[in-house]
Amino acid sequence: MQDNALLKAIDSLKESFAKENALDLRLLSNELIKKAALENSHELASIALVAYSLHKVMNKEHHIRSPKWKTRKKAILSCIEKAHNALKKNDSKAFHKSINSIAFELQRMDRFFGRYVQSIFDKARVKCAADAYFFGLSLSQAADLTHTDRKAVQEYIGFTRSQDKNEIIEGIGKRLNAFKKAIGEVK
Amino acid sequence: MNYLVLDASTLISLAESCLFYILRDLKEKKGIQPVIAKAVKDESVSKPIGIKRFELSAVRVRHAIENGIIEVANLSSEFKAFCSEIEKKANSIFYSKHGNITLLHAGELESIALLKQLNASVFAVDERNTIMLFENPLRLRWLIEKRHHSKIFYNKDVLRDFRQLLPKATLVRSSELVAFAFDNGFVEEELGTGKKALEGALYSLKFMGCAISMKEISNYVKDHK
Repeated sequence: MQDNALLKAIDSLKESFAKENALDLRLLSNELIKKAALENSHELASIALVAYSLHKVMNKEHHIRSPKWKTRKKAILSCIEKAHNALKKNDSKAFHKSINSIAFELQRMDRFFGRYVQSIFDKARVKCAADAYFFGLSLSQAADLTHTDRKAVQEYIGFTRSQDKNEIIEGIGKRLNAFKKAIGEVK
Repeated sequence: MNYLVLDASTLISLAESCLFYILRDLKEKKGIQPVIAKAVKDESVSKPIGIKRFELSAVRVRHAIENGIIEVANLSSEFKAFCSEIEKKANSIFYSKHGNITLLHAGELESIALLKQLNASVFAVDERNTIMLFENPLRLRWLIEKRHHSKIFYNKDVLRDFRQLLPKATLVRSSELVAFAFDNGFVEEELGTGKKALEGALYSLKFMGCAISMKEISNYVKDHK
């Protein structure tokens, strides 16, 4: 599992979060999910999820102005450091445990401040899966990459413009005629 | 009996947009039997039923299965082997400098194997990438290349083998099933017969993730008599 790309990714994550650079975190997430889709890498996808979630947190005033922010940030940085060490030791279990700890921290923040039923991390799973679909994976494969529900991803995609790029060549009329022929309604 | 193999994407589009009942009408009035693979049942019932947001539509699908409107078919050992073969081919057609690109997952693969097992004539799938892999794989490769801004290669021999393995079935989306239902009066009681009804139904499928563009809907509705 130890991979220079993974180590570089987690180092970038740590640096951007430590500096509270939301834009860098967002760009990092985009880049990582793209790679994760190409390589079918759940580890890269996990780091992408964390980067995306943290960028969202950075953009919420009520999180970063909270008196608990410094403590929460320290806890998350500690989890990122643990994830880094786990990668260096090739310890997949410890890596995923660290990622789960970050998700837990984010859920704690959501429970206290959050306005929505769906947590930041769960939304990140859906968003990153939609990106993976955009990069060419099937819906199920994309949902599997970020461990999210396929329905949520499909619904999310429905509200984007990705289906309007005319990539499916045959329209309703032609397909409908083909369907009628296939079921014997038309010779 | 005409079998209509449904991918999870089509089930989801229909269940979430309250047009699910057309499957019952397709079966009872047209003798078309909707059937799904076990992996599709897992994706559309077993997994989402525990998520409050999707509980209702999962229950809807489960109820349809319990009432025999949708059949769940298990793959025989011969077709489980076929499924593995299709998986190996499908997920090694395209590759980058990092290795093979894994495009398809269990749900899609089992549905393809089920098509062959049942010798089904129609496969309903709403998601774009699977449709493109069936109908125009090189365009899918172009799309992946464009999105990744990097070279994507394809293995000619694997692609040829994959295309030979693919069952010969007509691909439709939930949009075609609903258009068919509309033309046969299946939605008349609930929606009436006007163009707005047709347009509304098609847009609801689109917003639930069916791979259909606004332009397609607008062109179809405009020309619809």
